[in-house]
Amino acid sequence: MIGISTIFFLETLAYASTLALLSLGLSLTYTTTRVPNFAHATIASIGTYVLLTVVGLMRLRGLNIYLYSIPAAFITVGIITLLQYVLVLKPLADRGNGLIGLMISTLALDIILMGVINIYADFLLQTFKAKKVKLQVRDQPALRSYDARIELFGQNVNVSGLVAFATLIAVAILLWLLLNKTKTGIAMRAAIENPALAEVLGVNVNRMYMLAWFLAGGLAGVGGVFMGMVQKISPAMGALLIVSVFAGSIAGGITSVFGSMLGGLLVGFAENFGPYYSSLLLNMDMTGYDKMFSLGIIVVVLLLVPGGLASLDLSGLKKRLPLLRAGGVEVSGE
Amino acid sequence: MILEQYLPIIIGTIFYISTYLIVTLSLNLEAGYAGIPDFGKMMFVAVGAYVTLNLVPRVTGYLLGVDTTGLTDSNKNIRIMEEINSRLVGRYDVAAVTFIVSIVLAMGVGALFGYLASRPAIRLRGDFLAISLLAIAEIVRQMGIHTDFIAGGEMGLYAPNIFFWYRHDVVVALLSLALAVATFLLLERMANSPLGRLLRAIRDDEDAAKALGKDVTKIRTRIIMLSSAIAALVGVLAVYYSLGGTAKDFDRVTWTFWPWAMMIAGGMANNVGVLVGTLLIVIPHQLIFMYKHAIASYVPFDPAWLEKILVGMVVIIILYVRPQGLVPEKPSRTISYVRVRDFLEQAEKE
Repeated sequence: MIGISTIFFLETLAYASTLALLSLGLSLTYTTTRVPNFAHATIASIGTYVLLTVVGLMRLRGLNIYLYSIPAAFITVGIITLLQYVLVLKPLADRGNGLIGLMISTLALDIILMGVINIYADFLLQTFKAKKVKLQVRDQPALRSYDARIELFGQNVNVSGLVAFATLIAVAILLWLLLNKTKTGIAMRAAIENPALAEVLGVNVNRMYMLAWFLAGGLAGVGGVFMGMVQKISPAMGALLIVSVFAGSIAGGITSVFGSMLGGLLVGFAENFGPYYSSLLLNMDMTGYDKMFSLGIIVVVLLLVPGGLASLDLSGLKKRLPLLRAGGVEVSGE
Repeated sequence: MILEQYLPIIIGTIFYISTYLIVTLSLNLEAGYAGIPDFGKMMFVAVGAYVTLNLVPRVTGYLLGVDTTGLTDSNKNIRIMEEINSRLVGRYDVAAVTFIVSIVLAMGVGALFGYLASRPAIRLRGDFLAISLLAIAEIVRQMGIHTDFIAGGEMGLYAPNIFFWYRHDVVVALLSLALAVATFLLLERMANSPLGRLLRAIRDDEDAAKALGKDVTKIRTRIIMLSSAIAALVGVLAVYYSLGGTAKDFDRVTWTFWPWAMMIAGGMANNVGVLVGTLLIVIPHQLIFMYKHAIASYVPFDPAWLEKILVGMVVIIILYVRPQGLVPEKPSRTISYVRVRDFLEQAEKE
């Protein structure tokens, strides 16, 4: 890496992997209900609060943090997202609400969850005070000092970046196996591509969508865990994160699950390396402008290739890279 | 005595109802009539405020002979503004020019932002437009907070007190009320004009409108520009009401979600519904604000969070129980049969 320290690279890797997990989930839900879930980033910050709770109350250090908080966040946030689909989106769609109604309901849920997280933070503050835990619930700096450390290229670094990227790769492989090699996954893809036909063939479309929403939420929760390891923890962290998550999904092609994953990685790297290199290049401080790079990506992609990376014609490449093709779902040029 | 005690809250209620009515009416023109999901509304209100905080005092300073270099530096800003305010007293001409300049500039910049922000996704499906507007609005807010040269950053900036001849909050509240009434009448007239019917046609069947030779993209762009210009007015009013402001004041909850909640609750594509929805949400908000301490003793957390949850739930429940809103959309009013008949008779005579 030219001029980039190992630590900075690993932090970026953690952030980019987080965004990839979130963008991937966002696409998974988008392909089912065709509604962009504006609550997705706030849902991920629930995962961050699960991390904070687990670390604070169980007094964890090192790799144990990941061992406990990842499953806890996956299940908690997965269930919350499943409830969003079952209790809010599905009934509203059944009542005949159009795209605008469904979108505003996800925005409403975003606001509700922000309120809930704030209330939970107050509650957590009381608990931490009672148990004498030295953690903040608002504006807590990233939990870097709690992380496990290893020796890499002669430097003592946090493992968060490596764990996050390994998790992302594992998730990608498992998801690819699920979607392509199991009956459930094939049924899910069928339900996404043509719900009516899938239903005729005996696929319970609603149950498949529920599974998709649960997975998407769970992955967002896992993303939230890594987020807390490299970024400041506050109840409002989702408000800005949503820009990056959508940038990732749009860059990769919002209807392509694996395209979105690559898009998320791309946006994560662009947001960290973009300001770094442009600061060097322009000889001025660009650190506050990281989101401008994701905005730039959104604008360029929407203007030039609205279908995102996944819509680019890579037929030659696709044959050699089955992973890219496994998104499987059609990409409309709209 | 009692009046004096309650005057601030009454003035505040008038101000909030009026400003939210203006924003929600402009949103209704976009989202209700034209079907444009503007999830970046807060950006246009914020832009109006940025203009009033940053550009307008320079004009006032120039007219009064005050040096305004370093206006956005929060240390210098106080002194410059004190100088401007002390020289402004009695200068009705400068105050009037300042006011007109702020309105014109804010509306112009608001329309420009509407044009630019809608550019990437105006031709795409509605959800892409919603996503890109929301993203751009968040970035406009972040830029405002993190850079000093836009609106003074975290500290914010002061604004000139052009209503020095009376209590400024009373004047601004009444002015907002007048502007809200004017906006209501204008948009109600537009909605019942051929333009209103065209917008509904585009919303309901874009392809049919295209087939009839309507340039859908152009009309949508113009509607976003008009609506954003109107929303920018509210930024101006908010700054004059509190004699200053920061980029932090304009967030997604208060200036995007609330107008949406009001419109959904009242009924989309119905200006009367928007009025109902605005009252339905602003009045409880003011009550919660008034009795904050009383409520705080019943719930073990800040009532502000409870309010967020309640407004969000109201929206979801209304979408479920009554998707068309409390006052549903009505067919647009056309010219009565009697008037058409009279007109035809007269035409025959001639």
